[in-house]
Amino acid sequence: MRIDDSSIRVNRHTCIACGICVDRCIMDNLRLSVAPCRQVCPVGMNCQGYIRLIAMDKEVQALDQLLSFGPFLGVIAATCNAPCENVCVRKKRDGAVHIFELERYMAKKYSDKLNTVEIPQVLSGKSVVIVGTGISGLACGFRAIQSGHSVTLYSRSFDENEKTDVIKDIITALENAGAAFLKHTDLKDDLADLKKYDAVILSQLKDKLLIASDYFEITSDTEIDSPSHLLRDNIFCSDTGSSKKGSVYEIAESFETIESVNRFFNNEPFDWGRGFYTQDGAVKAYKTDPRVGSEEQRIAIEDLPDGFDKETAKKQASRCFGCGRAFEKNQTCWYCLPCELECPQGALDVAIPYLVK
Amino acid sequence: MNIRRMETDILIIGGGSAGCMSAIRAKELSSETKVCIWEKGDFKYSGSIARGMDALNIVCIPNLTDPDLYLEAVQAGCKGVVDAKPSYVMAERSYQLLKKLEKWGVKFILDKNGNYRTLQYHVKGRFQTAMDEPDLKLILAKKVLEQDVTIINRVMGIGLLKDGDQISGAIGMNTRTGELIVSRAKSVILCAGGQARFNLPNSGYLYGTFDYPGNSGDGFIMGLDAGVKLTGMEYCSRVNLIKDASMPLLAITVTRGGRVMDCFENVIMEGAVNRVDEMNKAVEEGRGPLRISLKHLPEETIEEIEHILFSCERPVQERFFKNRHIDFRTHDIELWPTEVQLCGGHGMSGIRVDENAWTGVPGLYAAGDVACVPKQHLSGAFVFGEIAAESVVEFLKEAQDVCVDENEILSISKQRDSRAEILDKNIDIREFEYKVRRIIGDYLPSPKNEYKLLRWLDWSKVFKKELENEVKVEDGHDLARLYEVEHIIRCADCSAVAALARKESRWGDAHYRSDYPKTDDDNWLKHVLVHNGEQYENLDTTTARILNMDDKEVVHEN
Repeated sequence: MRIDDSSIRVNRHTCIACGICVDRCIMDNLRLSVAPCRQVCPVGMNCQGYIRLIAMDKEVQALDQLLSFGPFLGVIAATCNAPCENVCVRKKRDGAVHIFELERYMAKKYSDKLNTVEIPQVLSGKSVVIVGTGISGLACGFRAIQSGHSVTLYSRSFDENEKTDVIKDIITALENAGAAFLKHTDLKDDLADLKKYDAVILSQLKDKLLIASDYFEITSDTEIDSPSHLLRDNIFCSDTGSSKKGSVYEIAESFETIESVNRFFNNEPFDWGRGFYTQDGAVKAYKTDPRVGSEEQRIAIEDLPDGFDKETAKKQASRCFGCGRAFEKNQTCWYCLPCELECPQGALDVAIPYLVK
Repeated sequence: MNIRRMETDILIIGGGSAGCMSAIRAKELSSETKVCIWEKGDFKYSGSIARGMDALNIVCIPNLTDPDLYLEAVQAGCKGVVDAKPSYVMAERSYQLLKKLEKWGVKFILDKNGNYRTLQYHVKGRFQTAMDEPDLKLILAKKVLEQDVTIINRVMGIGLLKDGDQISGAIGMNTRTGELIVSRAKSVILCAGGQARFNLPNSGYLYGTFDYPGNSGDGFIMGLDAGVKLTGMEYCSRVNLIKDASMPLLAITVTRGGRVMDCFENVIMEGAVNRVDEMNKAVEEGRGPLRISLKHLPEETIEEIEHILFSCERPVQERFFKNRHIDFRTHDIELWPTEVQLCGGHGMSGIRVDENAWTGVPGLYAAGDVACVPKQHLSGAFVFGEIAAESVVEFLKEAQDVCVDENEILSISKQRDSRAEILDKNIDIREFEYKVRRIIGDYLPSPKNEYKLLRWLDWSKVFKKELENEVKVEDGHDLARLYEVEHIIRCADCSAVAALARKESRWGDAHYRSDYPKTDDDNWLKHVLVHNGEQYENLDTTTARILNMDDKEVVHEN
């Protein structure tokens, strides 16, 4: 894959690989070369983006990159086994960038903002009911609220004491954003109630089997369609029973499920154009620039009992090579400039193609 | 492969100037009507006016000009080949349009006395009204988004569907993934632009075109297959514009006092863009290259020109001139003929429409560069965008329900799969486009003759075979591009057969036949219409009378 700067010049120091220019290009010229950390991230988090922003002393903008994960950033930061660090290009040289620790730093420092779930100005007018209040159910609830739906969550065995602080915070955040929790409610008693909702989401495989299998017409063999997560009619299941276990995978599946629910409400097909950034649009090839990334050494986490502070976070973030970036793929530039105008970092410069200039 | 299905009342193909205006107008008239726009790029900036504009090209300001004067001007500019009513209606509604845009926040320039600043671009009359609006497309896009309009980005139209005689929807392709989309629709407004990628621009860079290169004649070909008639396809005009950049500046510079000069220092135009034919003649006679000189203008005027050139329509000009170390205070701007464009907006090529934007096919309307209202420019795109919406809303009151033709969809889907297959294919899509456009440049622009035009038709057969069997596409983007090149080839066919039919010369170098070098008003003061048929490459031509204001005859019979 040819990644160069002959016509579209991208400043490797400031580009945060957000992909806005790729979306704005009216000639479909640009593509995003995705850093290895993002390629392996189950939720497709733009690690490079927020890390480079921390390095540039722009923590507020770094937070913007993470707001779409809301309170779940804390869950991911607490539980993920950080496959990103394993593939970090810097790993071979002098140790991977502290991606995971930086995420924890952000999640801790900005927990107030992250725990505020933003409701869109225009609501969808649709209602979603979610069965189950585990991580998966809560993640569905969070994304559904972000999408402008009214959300109800059912829980059969809801024990406050069993929940961790992080989960309690999430429940409070969702309640503050208008989600209704029906705790200690056994669905078997009021299945008819489910018909009131525009979409039903079963958040756990065991729910699928335990709760009124007759009603949902499912058996232990029932497979859940990918990527739609649709069981039948307006019933979705966010748990595909994949072998990959762990909160971060559950969150990823939940976000995908709500994407499907949104498409369902908009009468859009489940697969059309889906995953452009995770498949065709995101180019796996990447090229690093040795000039990006400071000479700072990796420090041992054991030496940081309280995690990063602002200064150490900035120092360690500046080690990131910034592997991903937008680039010209199709050589169709008409030098009309919206990409440059819309780049939030002013990182992109349109140079006129050599043949014309 | 799954095909996305959708339904709407009005499907607008193309979300540029005309498409936006159609959507807004349709919603103004009937908020309940479902409107959907398919946009090939990204809606926010898409279309020929990706950013802004420096003028509304045709406005009849009361007490200054009027539609009758405009009609005279456009008839002179088209050497008589123009139906009167559409141009007249456009001029008649142009002032109302200006007022509407002004209300939306579009900035027009006023002079000291509070009058609109007007410039002379036509042979007669100061119709061009200066604008200073770098964000024109953003304003339009915002207006559309305020309405309940479905916008689907990255979709190019590849075919219209019919139920009997009536339009029943369209089939499109995702330009990134190559997936197909089918919309059932009782009416379609084609706003897909003209054909900007005809022959190669003189830079040799495929996309270094004057017009937005996403316009690859999709609308012409979709319309043709649905039964419309194309007019003016033989009008292969080339304007003298900035050498290598092919970007506009004539109106902006000359109307503000710039001089167009030949290489012997003769001034061809100054103050008004009224002798474009003389410019072409100077180049033909070897007095080129021409250049624009601004050196004599006061600093204030030069700064104004720079401000407009560097902010509105193609702001990239600033870095182009900087790269070449051209300062208007000390250097002239060299001009060179651009590539040919087939375009109903600044040329004369496109779907023949009547004053109601109707194409003659029930349920199918066209506006903007895809429709031939000669030299209508941006004013025409806006006015006919509105007119098309008005006609459609009227049409929908009586329209029957329609079905889509599943067999047609299946055959298009099969063809798509076979074109996406890469086994045993070796021609690179980029090289393929380069060669197609190089050969178009060899045979189709003037001077034309029967031998050359027939040579193109021979090449066209070869290219079509290669397109189906040998051109390799790696991804969805390339596949969509293959469809674009198909449309380029088929537009060239239309241009060739129209040029073969018009056995005379007209419009200077836009249609000069060395085997019929004289203008022949007795036989050829009429339209040459291209439509589906048997004569060449599934095309045929007929001629049609030019219609005047008081004509009883209509463009299309009901």
